[in-house]
Amino acid sequence: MDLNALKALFSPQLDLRNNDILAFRTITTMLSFFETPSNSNPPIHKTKEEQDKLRVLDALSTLFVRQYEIVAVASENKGTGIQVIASVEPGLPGVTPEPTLDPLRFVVSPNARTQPPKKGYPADEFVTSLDISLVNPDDNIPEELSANQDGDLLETFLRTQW
Amino acid sequence: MHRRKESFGTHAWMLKMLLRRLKGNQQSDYDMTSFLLYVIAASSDKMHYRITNGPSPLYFECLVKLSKTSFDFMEHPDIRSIRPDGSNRDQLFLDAIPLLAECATTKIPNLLQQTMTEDKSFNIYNKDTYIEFHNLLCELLKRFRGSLGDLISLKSKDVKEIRNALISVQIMGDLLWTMVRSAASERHLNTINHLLEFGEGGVVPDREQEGDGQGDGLDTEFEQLKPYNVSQGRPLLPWQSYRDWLRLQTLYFDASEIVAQYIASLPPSVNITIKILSPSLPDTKMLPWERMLLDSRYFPEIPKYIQQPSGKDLCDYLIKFTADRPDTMEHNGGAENDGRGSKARKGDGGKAKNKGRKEGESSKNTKGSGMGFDIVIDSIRRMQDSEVVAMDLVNLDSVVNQMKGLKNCLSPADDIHFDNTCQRILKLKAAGLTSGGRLTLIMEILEMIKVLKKRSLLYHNLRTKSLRCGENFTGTRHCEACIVSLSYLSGIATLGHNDPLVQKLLSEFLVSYFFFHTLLDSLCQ
Repeated sequence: MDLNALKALFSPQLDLRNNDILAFRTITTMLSFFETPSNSNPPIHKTKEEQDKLRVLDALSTLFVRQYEIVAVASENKGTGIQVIASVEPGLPGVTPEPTLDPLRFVVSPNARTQPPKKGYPADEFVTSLDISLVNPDDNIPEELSANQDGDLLETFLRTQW
Repeated sequence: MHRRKESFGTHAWMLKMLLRRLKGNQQSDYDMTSFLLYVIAASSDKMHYRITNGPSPLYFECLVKLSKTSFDFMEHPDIRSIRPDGSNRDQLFLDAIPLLAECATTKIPNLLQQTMTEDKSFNIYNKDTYIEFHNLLCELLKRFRGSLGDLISLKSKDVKEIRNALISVQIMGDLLWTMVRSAASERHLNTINHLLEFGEGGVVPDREQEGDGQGDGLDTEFEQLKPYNVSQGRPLLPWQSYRDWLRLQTLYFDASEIVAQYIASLPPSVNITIKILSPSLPDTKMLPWERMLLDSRYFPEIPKYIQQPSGKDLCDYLIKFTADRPDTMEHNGGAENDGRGSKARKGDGGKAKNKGRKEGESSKNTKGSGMGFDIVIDSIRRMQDSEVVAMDLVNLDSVVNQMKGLKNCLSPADDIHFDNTCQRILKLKAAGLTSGGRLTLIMEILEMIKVLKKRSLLYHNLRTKSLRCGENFTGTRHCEACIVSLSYLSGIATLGHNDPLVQKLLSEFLVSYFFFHTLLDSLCQ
């Protein structure tokens, strides 16, 4: 299944989808009632590898939060059979990737808001969409940035986005 | 006025592009600095908020005030500098000391002298250095806060000026981070533990009192800093609260280091991709829970070898959960035969509050039993204040009576938790309870009542066969729910993408297996 096929899955095609979203809300709302305080959660045994992985994901989720966002980050680094979460780009030509290290594929989910979190704060099209969507950030980058992606990105960012 | 121009997508793209440059041997100091400066540029508003709001002014001033007083040194042999793998928790700070000795206003000759010793078993934090350590910490905190303030208030569009302001934050933040992460800082906060101030009853302002609209993420962070909050079964001591507060201030520096180190460990051939899963906007519409659980599209039959109940089993369980309980009949006299009256009672705002209400008023109450629990929570919270504790302890019996009036708002399955909570409230009467012990017990009781309140709301809402969206459900949970659902479904597809059922699941963004199991686990707790 390629990414285009996946995108098609996320487009609103059927009335049934409305019920699917409602069901999702119902379950997540039910779950919220059962949430127990963190101190009563039993410790979950994690291997060193799992701990390290979570540490990186935790850190990455911190970096995605600029001010008001709430995000969750997941990664997949096993298997290449289906690319639902993210596409895998080919490695550099002539270089054989080490077999134990798979491509890093992260998916980030910011919280959706019906209105800006604060008066005067600019709305963000990525967090105010009407329907669920999986977005490649490369598809909608300001031209000044994409045109200079091999140069001093910070300089360009400060000049055009600050 | 908000500086932000870039979208979340642009932010994700910038992080991806800058991280790609840190891979393997490609990493240079320049790339690492660019990455860190970008993180500061993107997140400076939040950094500034953290150091100027919540408990920060109080904690800040308390530390600064101590610079002007004297306090004794204490040994803390239980806090070790050497990690099990042999590395030194103080090493980053040790490395920074020569630079600090040169640039900081605080004179640190003893700290500098310590770094020159050849004895590898020494502790950088000792009777010769502890005052220098404290003063240096205060200076770095001040400078870090000042540099953030300068950056936030910068009006210039000149890139060089912006970059300089970013570099100031980077330098101060980096140096503060090396201190904060050290074992020496833990020893120091332990030393001054008895001098640390943390506000009335250990409580920092509640979310609704802050009113700055920063979102639940930040407020949760401040909530977690409350001294004597119970975390993993233990109360958070004042020095730990200050430690966590300091770590919060330098969280972006910590996160940048962790991610950069990890990316640097990857060979250049490994690619990094980031995609954004944007959830649909929430609203108040829901699918009736019974219909949802019995719909095979959402809760398809699962193979028996998995040994999990079906959606129907779950539905039956919840129906049982909401069934009338015998003691409710006793509480409400003869009206239970009236279906309308019975329904109203289940959602009643708690007997303690509604005792004096006219008949018919309670049937209009759609808020569930939360109000009654809120009254008890307020009563318990007031006991955190040491000045009124003597008076409130006299009223403990009345608080327990208020609690007992709420028992009918819960499922019989909660009786054991309910009784346990009442017993703990009465424990507050125990003679010889220390101030710290009392605060810990109060925090435990509050946690337990909050859980009971939530469960009573579910009890109420399930009975009326509708749920509310949003309240009690954090944005973090929603994000995680969306992402895990998608991830899990992709895993199913990997295992059997030819299965028509799996195709159907994927084609409609269904939510079944993962949430089914999570919901079940929650119910079984």
